[in-house]
Parts: sequence; structure tokens; C-alpha cells
Amino acid sequence: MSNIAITIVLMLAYFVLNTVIIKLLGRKQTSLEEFGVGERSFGWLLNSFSYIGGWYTGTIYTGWFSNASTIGVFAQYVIIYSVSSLFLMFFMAKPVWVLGKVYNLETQGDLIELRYGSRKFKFVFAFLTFLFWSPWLILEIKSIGYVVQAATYGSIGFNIGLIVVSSFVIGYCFLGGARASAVGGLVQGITFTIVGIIAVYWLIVKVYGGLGDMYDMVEGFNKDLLTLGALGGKYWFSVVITCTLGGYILPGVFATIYRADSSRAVKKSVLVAPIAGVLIGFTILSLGLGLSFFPDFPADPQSSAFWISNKFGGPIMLGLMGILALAACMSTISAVINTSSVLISKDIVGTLAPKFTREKLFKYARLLTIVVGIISIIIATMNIPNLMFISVVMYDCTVQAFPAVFVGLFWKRANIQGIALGFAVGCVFSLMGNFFPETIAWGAGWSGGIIGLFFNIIIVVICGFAFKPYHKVQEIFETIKTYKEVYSKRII
Amino acid sequence: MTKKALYTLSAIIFILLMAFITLPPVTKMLERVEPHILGMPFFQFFLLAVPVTLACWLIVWFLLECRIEDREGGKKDE
Repeated sequence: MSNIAITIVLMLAYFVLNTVIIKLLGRKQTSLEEFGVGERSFGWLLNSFSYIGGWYTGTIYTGWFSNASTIGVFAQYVIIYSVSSLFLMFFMAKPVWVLGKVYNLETQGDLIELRYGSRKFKFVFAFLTFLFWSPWLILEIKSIGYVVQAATYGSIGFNIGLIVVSSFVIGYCFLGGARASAVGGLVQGITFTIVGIIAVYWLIVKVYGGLGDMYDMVEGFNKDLLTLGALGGKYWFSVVITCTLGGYILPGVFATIYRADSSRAVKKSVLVAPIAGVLIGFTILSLGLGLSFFPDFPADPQSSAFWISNKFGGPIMLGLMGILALAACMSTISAVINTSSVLISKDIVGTLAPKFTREKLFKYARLLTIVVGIISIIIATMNIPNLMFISVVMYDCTVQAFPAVFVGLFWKRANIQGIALGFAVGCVFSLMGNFFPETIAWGAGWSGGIIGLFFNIIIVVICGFAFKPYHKVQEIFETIKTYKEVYSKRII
Repeated sequence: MTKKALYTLSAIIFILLMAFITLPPVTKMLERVEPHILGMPFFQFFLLAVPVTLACWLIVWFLLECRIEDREGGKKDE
């Protein structure tokens, strides 16, 4: 069997495995609640791995991996913010889950409408958070094309690869909704957590002889890779903080909380997700750290994970690396597509057409799975310069939603005036800082996102004392306080 | 320990650890290769130690909270 055939057979076998398990654990979709939040029935293990699957993107095997070889340990910010975001999720798990259960919330926008009593702000908030999130969907679909091409020695083209694999993901999201997305995430999350950590550590030993030898080699060639280097401490602070706060504010995190059968099931994910996250990030980024010193290091560093897998493990390891990267891409894409389709249907279409029944919105959500998927595939096949830059800019904007959600959950005085004005001001600073950096030169090196967040929070606090809160806020906080939860022992 | 005290303690741990690994004056001191700790360069050790400590505290936090909630009489679905 040729090398190309080995890698293709391995990846096809993985697709068959995914299909069988999704089919076995799937359910027929009959309602918007089932399609969007799986009828709030997911046990802790399903919820944990679907969270890991949605959180860890395929770009960790391409863009981040190449970053490790070029900017060194700076790339490990991903490990810190992954765990710190979980900390914030732990804080808000109970209030978000309880409100979701009592008031039948299915999207992040539903929570905003409930807390601040404004449908108009919900519409704007939902539209902007989707807009800020969507570049990651395009990036992940592009990563699929990249992975398939690299893992099949270039025998399957970029566009063909991304169209076929993305269509597979869109198909099971359309048919199986949130449950299919989560079950897919479970299979894919387990793959790149357990198989991934073992395989990548094996490669570290094979390539360098072990972690200690790798550090010796890096120290010998370029010590700067073991510090923050030229990027500096202020940039490091900005990246870690905006990613921590922005990452936890993504609509997919809220969908994960709603889908669990209890807030304890959400919190129980901390038994798996943080340690798994540290190990995934640390092994893969450590493997990438010293690769640039190899004489035949590829000109395109994004393909270096596949290059090193083939060099030291032949076609079987290359196929396995392809599977790991595809698993990470597929689980993220399915989570984004499912959440986005429900978000657009309920928060955008539902707000524009308030007379639409839930049955109608359910049909729209299913249809939107296909529409969002196809539009994303079409955009992903285009040559978009600076897509990674756009995605990072969007993160700076996403973080501006932090006060609306987090502060609003714990501070009764937070009100619509402060949240709306703070969000707008924060986004303006974020965009100025990224597109016209000279306008924030007075910021002494802090990023537009951090400056925007600073003013955003100040505005929320001032308006909190200047204006009255929403009249139902007392009732909402009382619901959270008095709700008696049933602690389920379900695993899947 | 009450639930409120547990959450306050967790918030303090989170803020201290995040400040330790992100605030520029602190990272300026940590950004060194020597001495090695557990075979890792100095800064690399802390880059790993902080998330590992956060992850371990999350587990402790969850277990303590379960104990408090069970003591306070949450319902269990058998």
C-alpha cells in the first residue's frame, strides 16, 4: 500500500467511526430545545469532552504550532487562558444554568434579554457576537483544507478537502442538532486528548530524546525562544487577559452550560478539561518549540507538524496527526455551526419576527445550519488576506461583552444604559487600536482591547450608580438564590 | 467553610495567580532561563506551574463545593 493510501485509509476509518457513534447516540430532532440545547440532558462526561472539542481548535496543529517554533514559549498563552477561562465558567455555571432552566434560555442573547429587559439590545448583541465569532469558523474550515492536503502528501487538493469534510460536519449537525455536535465532540475530544497527548509525547521523545534535551537544544540555538522575547510583557498581559475574558464570553460556552443536565454536571467538567487542556497545549507546543533549528524545516511553518510526523513516524504517524487535527477542526466547526444557527434563528430572526412560533424557529434553525455552513465554505475557498489578524481583532471586540454578561450576573445595579454604552465604547477602542494604532499611542503599549475594556467597565460602574436597574432584576437574582437543583449522576 | 468563603478564596487565588503570570513587572523578573527548575528553564517552569495550579485548585474547589452543597441538602437524582 502506498504512503498516500495509508493516510487516506486511516482518515476514512476515522470518519466511519464518527458516523457510527453519532448515529448510535443520536436522537431524532423534534423541537428547538432539542436542536439547540439537547433538552438540557447531557451528562458530565459528554459535556466535558464536547466542551474540550469545541474549545481546542484545529489551528493549534497549524498556526499555533508554527508560532511555537517562531515566537517560542510566548505561544503557550493558549495553555494559561484555556484554564483561566474555565475558572470563569465555574463562577457563572450555576447562575447561567439555573436561569436557562427556569426561563427556558437557549442562547447567550436570551440571557441578555432576560437580565436587561431589552429585545433591541439582544438583537444587536447577538448580531455582533456572531460577527466577532464567525472568522474562527472560516479559519477552522480553511484549516481542514490545509490539514487534508498536508496529511495526504498533497494528493487531495485544499478546496476538495475542506468541502468534503465540512459537508460531513454540516450534515450531522443538520440531522442531529446539539446532541450530534456534542457526541461528535466527545469522540473527537477523546481522540485529540488521549491519543493526541500520547502520540505527540512519543514524537517529542523520538525527535529530541525528551523534554530536557529539547530545552538544551533551544538554549544552544536561541535563548530568546524561552522568554517573551521582543513581543514584551505588556503585549503578553493584553493577550492573556483578552483571551481569558473573551474566550469565556463566546456564545458556544453558554450553549455548553445550557446543555448540561445540572450546573454540577457543568462544574464536574473541571475534573477533566483543565488538566487535559494543559497536557494538550503543553505537549503540542513543546514539540513545535525546537523544530525551526532543523536544517530541512519547511518554508511554510504551518505544515511543520505534518512534516515532523512524516519524518519520524512515516505515513502512519502522518495519518494520525491528520486525524488529530481534523478531530480538533470538526469538533469546533460543529459547535460553532450548531450554536450560530440557533443564535441567528432565535435572536435575530425571532426578534425581527416576534410572531414566529417555536416550531417555525426550529425549522429556520435547521435550515440555517446548511446556509451558515455553505456560506462559510464558499468564503473559506476564497483567498482572504489577514484572516488570522481579523480573528484576533474580533477577540479584542468579543472581550467587550464581558461586563454585559459577567458583571450583569453578579452585580444587580448593572443596567442597559451602562452595558450598551460601555460595549460600544470598548469596541471603538478595540477597532482603533488594531486598525489605527497611532490613535492610541497615548496608551503606553496597552492593546486597544485592554484600553477599551478599562473604559467599558468604568462606564458600566458609573451608569450603575447613575441609572436604575431593570425592574425584574431582584426577581432574577432571587431565582438563582432559591432554586433547588437536582444533582444528576448521568455520564453521557 | 461556607460556600461564600470558598468562592471568595477561589477568586483571590485566581487573581493572585493571574497577576503573577501576567503583570509586566512580575514577568520581567520571571523572564529568565537560569536557574532550571525540575529540568525546565525558569520562565517555562512558571508558564506550566500556574495553569497546573489553577487546574488542581478547580478540582479541589469542585470537591469542596459538592461537600458543602450535599451538607446543605441538595436533591440527588438516583
